[in-house]
Amino acid sequence: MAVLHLSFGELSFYCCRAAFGAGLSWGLAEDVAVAAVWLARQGRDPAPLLAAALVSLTDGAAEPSVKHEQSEIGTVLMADGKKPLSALVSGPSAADWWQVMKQDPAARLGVRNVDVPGWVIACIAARTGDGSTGTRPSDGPGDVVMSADGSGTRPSGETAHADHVTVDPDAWAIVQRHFRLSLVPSTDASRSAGAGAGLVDTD
Amino acid sequence: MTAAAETTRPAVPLRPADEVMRLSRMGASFPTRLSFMRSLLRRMHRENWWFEQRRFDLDAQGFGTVVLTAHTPERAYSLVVFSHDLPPEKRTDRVIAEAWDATFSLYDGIPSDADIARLADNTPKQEAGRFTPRELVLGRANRSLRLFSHVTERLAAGQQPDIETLARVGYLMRTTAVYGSGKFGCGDRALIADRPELQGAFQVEMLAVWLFRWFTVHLIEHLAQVRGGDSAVPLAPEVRGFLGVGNATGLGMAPFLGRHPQLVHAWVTARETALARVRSLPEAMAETRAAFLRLLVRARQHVGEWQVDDPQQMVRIAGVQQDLTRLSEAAPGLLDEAAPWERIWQFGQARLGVEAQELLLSLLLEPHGALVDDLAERMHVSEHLALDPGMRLSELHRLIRTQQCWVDALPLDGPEADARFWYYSEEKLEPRLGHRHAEPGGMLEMPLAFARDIRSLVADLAQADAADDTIVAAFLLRHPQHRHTVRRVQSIAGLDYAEVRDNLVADGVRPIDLLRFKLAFFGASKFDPKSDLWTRITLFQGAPQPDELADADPDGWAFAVRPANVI
Repeated sequence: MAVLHLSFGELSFYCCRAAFGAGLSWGLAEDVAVAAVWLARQGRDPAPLLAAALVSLTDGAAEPSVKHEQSEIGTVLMADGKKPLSALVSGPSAADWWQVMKQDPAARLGVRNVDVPGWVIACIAARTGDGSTGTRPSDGPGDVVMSADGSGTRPSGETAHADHVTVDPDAWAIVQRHFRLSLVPSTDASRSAGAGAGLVDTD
Repeated sequence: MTAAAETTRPAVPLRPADEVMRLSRMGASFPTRLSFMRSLLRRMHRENWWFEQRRFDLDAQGFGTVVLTAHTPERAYSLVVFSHDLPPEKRTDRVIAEAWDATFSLYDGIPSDADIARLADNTPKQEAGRFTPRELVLGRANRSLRLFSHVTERLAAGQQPDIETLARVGYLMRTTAVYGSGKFGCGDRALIADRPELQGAFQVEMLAVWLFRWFTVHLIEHLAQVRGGDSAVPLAPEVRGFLGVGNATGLGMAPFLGRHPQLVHAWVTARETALARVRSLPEAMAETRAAFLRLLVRARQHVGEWQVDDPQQMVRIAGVQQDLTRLSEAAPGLLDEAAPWERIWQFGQARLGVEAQELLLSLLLEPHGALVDDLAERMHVSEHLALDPGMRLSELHRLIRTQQCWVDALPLDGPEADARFWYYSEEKLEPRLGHRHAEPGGMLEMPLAFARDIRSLVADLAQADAADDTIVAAFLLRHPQHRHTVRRVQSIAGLDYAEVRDNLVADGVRPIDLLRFKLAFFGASKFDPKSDLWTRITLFQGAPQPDELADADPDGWAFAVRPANVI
């Protein structure tokens, strides 16, 4: 498959609608787009992480609802069930909580057993700017820990591209598959009632 | 800002959003001197941009490649146009079209032969092509069959086109889509956002369309020359100026307005501030007064020449004509009174219809360039819709009660209130407006039902707030469906003009009201509604062509009127 370069605007458009096509609310889908563009601006292809998270959610391998608890280690987000927590659902919430908590020097946020930890970290970083160097999280399900003292999981920083991102074609095909779920099938009736002159215009 | 503007703080308040942001008034908008194509021409003239035809490879049928370049003080931008043979059965203005008479890309710089060859492989494919960050705009256009042959034949025979025929259409070709901002791999808006020559809204898109208008003149004169040989004549200067470029606009513009509330606020604030500045002037200078009265005469002629097929719009046009007659009779006397511009405005409020009132707004701004033109620079903002997750629910609730209370006045119950839904069709992503209770796909609607969504949010907030004044982050864990609406409410706090204060999914909603609102900010004229869903318009009618700009008045083309018969 050919190498595919995308503008950031294009990336945002497709990722937002792919997330919506996967069943997320518009608000969560908008946060997916923000995280994707943030990764791209760091020079990272967001497609593999996003594709994994989309498949996990739509295949039912991940829990789509998040529970919030206060424990002795701090604030914890976890699945409201036994399966790993969807990163697409929990990432924006984790960013919300970290944005609120981060001024506290003792703040500590955990996201437990999330399906694609890297996506959660991207969501947090895109919102708060926290962490541009450090250890890249594992590819499989795992925990994300944010700590105001600087320890915990952090996204890795890489060289940024100024004007585009190159995406993995296979992963991008998965994003596109979910994007198409956001479109309404065309019917003869909707086609003929669309905005514009008749299907042949002699004016 | 000019010294005059700095010292002129509006004494009268800006019009309230409850008046300005209703569809009925938005759908009566007119272009003003702050419109984007007007500010582009002023800047190009001020900065001495110059223009050249760098390539002209058209065959005897007018098919081939043309490159037209605009040189700014620091950079160049080139419109690369491909002119095609379009079979009649493939001619349609719809988004779902797959072939066009002409396709074009605006290239950032001067394209090499290799760039042009690359674009030749992609630009004609439009949405199916792939582009690079060097391309800033992508578009296509079809010939006006009503006018194109007529003008070609007349010029080939050594005659100018019939002015009546010309005026009925107003353009040789009409664009059917103009894409910018990163579409299909093109350069993102962020790449050019800091360039001084493109400050303002939609400037690069306007530049592409203006250069394309120049192409249509080159094309028709070329075809006339091929057919007529020595007998052929070029277009007379006044005819060249009168020819605009057409545009067919459908539903795609409406979602844009929904996605960019901060930008919409900036546009309307600039226009309303300009109006307030003019209304606040204590007196009318003799020169300004004369310019206003001259323009009023021209506007009457312009409206008189505005002919459309739509009976509803023709009734409205007739009403504007009557209103302008009334205004013309009253204006000289009103201008002798104290606070004359306010007197004229109040006369309009009391005696004119909505469409004439909006036209009066445009007329009032026109002779006051020194007072208002600085506002055009404020019509682009760096948008950021940000969630504040730490906000208490009581505060969010207060924000809605104080700033989005217009929702309470709308009828939002019953099937009529959510009868329609906006969506992207799988067919070339064509935006469409469905009937929710009769068609599938309502679950996939775009988020344009802000009024309905606010009400739903308020209902859940009322329960949550009463139980526990927690923060937004906790509320959204339980109610992720409100995330979009909460972010929007927070992001437009204090921005009165950010929202259309109507229900965009109600039965009877007229998308063309939204289209006209946006197109007027572009500078479009001669709105020609073809249904509730789409309209044709004319762009740049009366404006100087690129090779005329240096010696022209860049603001002398408001309310263009047809030239007297030209031999």
